[in-house]
Amino acid sequence: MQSTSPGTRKLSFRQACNYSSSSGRPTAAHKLLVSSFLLTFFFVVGSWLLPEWTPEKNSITIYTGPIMNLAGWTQYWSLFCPEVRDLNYHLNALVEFSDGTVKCYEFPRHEKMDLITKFRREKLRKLFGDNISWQNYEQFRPSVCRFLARANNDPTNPPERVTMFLNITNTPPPDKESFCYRDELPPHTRKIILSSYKVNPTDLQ
Amino acid sequence: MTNLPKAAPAEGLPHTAQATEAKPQWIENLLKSWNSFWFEPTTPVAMAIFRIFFGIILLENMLVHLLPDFDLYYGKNSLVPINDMMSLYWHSSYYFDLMAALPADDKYIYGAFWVMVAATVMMTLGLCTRVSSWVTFLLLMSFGAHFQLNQNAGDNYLRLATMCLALSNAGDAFSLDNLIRATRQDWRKTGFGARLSAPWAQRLLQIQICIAYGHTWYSKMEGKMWNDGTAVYYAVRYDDLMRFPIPHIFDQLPIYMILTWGTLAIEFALFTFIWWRPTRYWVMAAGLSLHLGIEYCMNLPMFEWSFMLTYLLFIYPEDLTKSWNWLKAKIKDRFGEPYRLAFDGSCILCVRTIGLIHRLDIFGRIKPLDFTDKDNDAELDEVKLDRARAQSEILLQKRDGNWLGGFKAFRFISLRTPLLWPLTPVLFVPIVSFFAELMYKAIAANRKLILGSPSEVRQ
Repeated sequence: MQSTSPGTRKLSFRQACNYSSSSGRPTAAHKLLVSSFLLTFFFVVGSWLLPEWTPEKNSITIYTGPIMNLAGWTQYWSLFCPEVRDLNYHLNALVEFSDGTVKCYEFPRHEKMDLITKFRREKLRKLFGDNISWQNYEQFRPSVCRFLARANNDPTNPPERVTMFLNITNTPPPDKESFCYRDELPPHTRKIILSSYKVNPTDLQ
Repeated sequence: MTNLPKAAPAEGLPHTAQATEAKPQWIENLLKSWNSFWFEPTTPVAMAIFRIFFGIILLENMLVHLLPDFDLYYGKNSLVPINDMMSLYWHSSYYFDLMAALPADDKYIYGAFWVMVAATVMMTLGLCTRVSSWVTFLLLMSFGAHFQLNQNAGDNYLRLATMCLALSNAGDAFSLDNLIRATRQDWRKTGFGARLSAPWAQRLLQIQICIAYGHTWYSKMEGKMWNDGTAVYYAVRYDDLMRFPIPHIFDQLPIYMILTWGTLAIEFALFTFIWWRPTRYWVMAAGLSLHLGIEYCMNLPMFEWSFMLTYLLFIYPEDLTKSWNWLKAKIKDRFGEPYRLAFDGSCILCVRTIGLIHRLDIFGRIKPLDFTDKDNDAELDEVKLDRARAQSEILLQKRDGNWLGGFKAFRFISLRTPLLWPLTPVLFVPIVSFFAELMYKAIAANRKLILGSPSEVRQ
């Protein structure tokens, strides 16, 4: 296929089918600009992805991290690694009202959903299962508790405390004694309290 | 149909020749390789196909996954209001969030969301591709920053790939932009092939996916379960991620050990051997089987498909052409030879119309023949073209040998051109066809006055 100009001669239909024009070679300035962008990208992203034991990594990422976040270049590719989770769990919350009654709220459980619903609601799993349940995101739990308190507010019997807890079970290891098939996993029976939040009247407004 | 050209042959770099004379050979070679890899003009077709399917994945993300719980994430009374998000997550770092600048009212957030959807639709169709891709990218970033807690690795990849699309010339093929440009161009000068350009944004996305595979492989190599072969056993037992069942006969440790180590081997190949031509397609096939296997077992929407889609960018342009030609040959075997369409090559309006029809005719069902071109005389004489009639309207030969003219020929073409199918039922409405025929005749009678000029007439 040609890419050079046909000049003043006009192409027949058959020739035109095998011909591409070109937007031209980039100028030196264009190349320099693009190359600078590419090198910046690789430096910022590369420094972030360096192994944790790399000397002076933090002294570099303190500068490159904000650039990465601002530019939308966030890199997170450690899915299922370095270790795979060996437990299953779900999240619950107890909402205690001023008259002493307690309501148990179960956060969305994907293992109970049909295929289409769990496909549509995948982001809820990410939110409550992968994030809020774990220590890295514990700072958000008071916000979640306030949300639940507002959602369950009854002016005559307002909520007073919201307690979030995890129902958890370990996946049996694949040895001869404990091996279990994928469709015979044990229920989530162990309880771990994650946080308990005292509701303020201002939270309900 | 936009044809798929081979990459243009390398040319010298005269403007740098003098400067590089004094440089050591290895630096010169490095610069040459850098220039060749990032800037050697090539076809944007792979990036354009990627744009279309990737746009559909983006729309799935927005309409299927975000919209059902939109208020929970982004509403004024969301689970984690933006002020909490800023103080608890952003800390002293900077994030790009256009919505943070909008008044705190749901209608503005919804407005931004629907602008993002509209921009994505435009990007997918290739309408104002550059602008629509940038709008999509900036709003994707904004929604990601506004509520970080529902973001996963798939969202990161969508964002990065959209940035690469915005930086690329993905709108130069298979796009409305290209069709609109074609109506202003004379294909006898520009050809039908997609305009060649520097592929650096495509290369960046290729490297980005290799970074992802390389990083995940390295992280896995540090894990005990990946080394002892039990990782996949545990991974498919995440009960919140399960999709389809695995029969007990395959639900066995030895199989999981093979799959665990196989995953490591495939992920290693996906950032190394994929760059080596003899193994590239084998590695891609292994990668597809890995992702499809995960897709079967686990509910991870978007992620697997966006990665698999990126493999398109690794297909060599000449192989894309071969694949498309193979498909066209199969269609020709099934439905017969393309229909001959005689047109007046001395009329620029006819030339542009034929160019438009040819670009829409992606399966090559129409064979345009310029009756003013002497090379076509033998073929047109053999099929007994009525040249006097051809002077007044385009003529299309049916299977029975008869010729259809003008509007009826166009309607016949629309039936055989899938991209025109949305228009076809309208063309069969009697009142529409009556007026369309009148309009065609009026335009045909004055066609050389509309766009034609002596300078445009073929010599």
